[in-house]
Amino acid sequence: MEDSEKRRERLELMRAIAAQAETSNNGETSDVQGLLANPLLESPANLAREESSATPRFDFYTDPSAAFSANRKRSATGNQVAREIKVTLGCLQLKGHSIECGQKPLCEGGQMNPEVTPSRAYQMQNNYSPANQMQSNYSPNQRMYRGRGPYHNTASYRSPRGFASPFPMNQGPPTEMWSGSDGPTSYYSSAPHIGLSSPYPIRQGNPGSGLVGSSPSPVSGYRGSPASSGRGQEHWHSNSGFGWSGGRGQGFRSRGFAPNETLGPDCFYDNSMVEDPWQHLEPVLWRGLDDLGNNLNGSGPSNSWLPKSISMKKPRVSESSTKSTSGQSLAEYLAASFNEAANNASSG
Amino acid sequence: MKIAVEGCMHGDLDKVYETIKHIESQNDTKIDLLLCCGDFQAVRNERDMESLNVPLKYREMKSFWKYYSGQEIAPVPTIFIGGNHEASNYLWELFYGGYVAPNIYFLGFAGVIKFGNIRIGGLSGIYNARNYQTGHHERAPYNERSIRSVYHVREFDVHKLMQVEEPIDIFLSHDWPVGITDCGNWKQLVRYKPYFEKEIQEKTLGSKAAAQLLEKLRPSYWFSAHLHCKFSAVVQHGEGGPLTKFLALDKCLPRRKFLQVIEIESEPGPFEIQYDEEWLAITRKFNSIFPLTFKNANFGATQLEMEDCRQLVGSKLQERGTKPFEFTQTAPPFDPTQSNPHGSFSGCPRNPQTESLLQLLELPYLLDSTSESREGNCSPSAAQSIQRGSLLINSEEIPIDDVDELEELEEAGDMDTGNE
Repeated sequence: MEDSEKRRERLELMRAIAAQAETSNNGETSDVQGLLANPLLESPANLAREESSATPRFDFYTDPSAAFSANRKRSATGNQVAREIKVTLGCLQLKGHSIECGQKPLCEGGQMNPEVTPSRAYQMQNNYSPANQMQSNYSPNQRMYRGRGPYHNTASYRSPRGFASPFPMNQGPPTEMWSGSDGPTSYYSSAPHIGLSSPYPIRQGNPGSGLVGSSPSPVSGYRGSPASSGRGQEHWHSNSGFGWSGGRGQGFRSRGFAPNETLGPDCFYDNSMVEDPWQHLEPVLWRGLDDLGNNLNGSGPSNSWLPKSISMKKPRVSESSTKSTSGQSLAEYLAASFNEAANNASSG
Repeated sequence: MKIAVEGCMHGDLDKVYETIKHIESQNDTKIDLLLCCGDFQAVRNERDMESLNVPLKYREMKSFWKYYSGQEIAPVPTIFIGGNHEASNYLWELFYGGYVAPNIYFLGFAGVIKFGNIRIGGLSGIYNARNYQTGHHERAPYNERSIRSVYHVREFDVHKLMQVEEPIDIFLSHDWPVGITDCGNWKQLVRYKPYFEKEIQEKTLGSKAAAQLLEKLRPSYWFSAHLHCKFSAVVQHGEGGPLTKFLALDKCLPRRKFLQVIEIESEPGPFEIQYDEEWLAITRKFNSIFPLTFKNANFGATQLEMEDCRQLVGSKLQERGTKPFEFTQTAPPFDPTQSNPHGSFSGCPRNPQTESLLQLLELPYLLDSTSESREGNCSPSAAQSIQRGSLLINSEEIPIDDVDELEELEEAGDMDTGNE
């Protein structure tokens, strides 16, 4: 018992010493520590200060995981900072901050922040919520470069005819490449590395282009979740057998995204495309422009397809040709006429 | 030969090629050729966008630039005509036709080429009576008027096509020949597109120029687009005369009928795009009257005889071969990793393909000649008295809002009718 009493006294002494020391170290700390602050009397600033100063000590005594908790709380108070980072970091989604899903899509017409490193971006992609997928993937109608990747198969492509292409196929971008912070940012990634199948530069807006609209074309760009792009690759590859180099086709698209680019070739294909479009039709006699009451000049029936300039000149041509006796050309005829006139003048 | 025909491309090359691959896969077949009936939107870079007449909301790079840059290669040889939504500056470079990208061939403002032994003709643009009898006066950079008139069909080009005597297998026009609806199930058409009915009844739906060509050329097949719907018809040219199978197709959208595969009897391959001798002879004959101002061509002023032209072209092709000149880039392709180098307009470069062709035909290069009657270069009073043919044109009469009203209606109709 004595020990316990002594211990209590010692503890009280320690607390007093600690309180004194804290008071001396922080002149602004309220003298009424340990008591609940009156929010009607205390200004929010003071409350915040009080909380921030009181929290560590309280946690030290009550929470075995004080360090973690303190960090979490600090993080909580720093959420504003995190959000600010998020706004500027474009596509980055910070781990554990699901609240940010409800914010304005960060890729929306924006640019990826040049300060973000690719590796950081990879980490963030793993935490994509469905909502995030929509704001992410690079244009799904982009075909993979055909010169790379395990899915590469050029056999199904007919080689261009009639000329030799002066353009070598893309040999594939570097595994990771991040452009500098100047100008538009671009980001290349290796599909096997992160599950993204498109090595194509991710476009975040169209800097300096002056284009309008928000198409999921390269101009704006989307990036899908790694899972969806991976499935898409495999699905398209196995189903088509055409050796598409992955990444092209329905699976590559973000599900449910509004533009057409989210749809695969099934949605564009119609059975009628290979059926005879004339099978139920009977030939109808063409009645011609005259019958339609049309001519190209907009009035009166058209008796001839000849342009006006010809129709009008025709009589003159025929008139002159009647004067021509021996199959002379017009030039010859004119020359003869000139000579004749000259002779007449000289003789007269 | 299996030919895929597409309506309006609107720059969606990726999707169309993807669908073709899907068709090949589903039907265990191989498509030999893709024909596109306009609105191809061969936009190479941001600057080309300035020559593309589309509402701002539709201004997108789309996917052509990838094929232009060489990043992608068209998996099927592709031949197209122009429509009313084009990078007109680029197509002007290739007025006589040529490759806009590897394996993608533009037929020209008017043109005929061969693919294997199949003869394909085409007329780019849409018909507009107001500009039909003017010359090709528009030059890039276009103003708000010229960007809307540069794609209007001109009599000069139609006149050249009217000279074709040898049979045409396939003909392409962006807008439909007027009167074609009489040869198909137009009642079904107006059920989907009720706003067409009035014009069908008034016989004003479509192009008069195209109808004239249909009547003259009588091709086996005629494909069109523009009105964003599928419509087929069979035309009989006179009692017991030849047939023309007409088909119009939609634009590339999900669940829309924008693609059709047909099979045409042909000699065995290899199938390659080749120059057409008769067409090149016509090109040679009429180049001297190429109207490059507001003024229409003087069709009676051609000096060359067709037979002479034919002889020259024949010998030239025999010497050189019939393959078109190879594709060459004339402008930097769009680079999604680079910001747009938005400098001042650098003019319309001479496309080496065009230069080579004209050299082959022993013709001068005229495409960069300054139009003396350009609106921007002449005073208002002068502009008001620009003479074209036998008519006086007041350039101020060309409305600034020269939009394709029908197309706008059609767009509205898309929303009304949903998927067809």
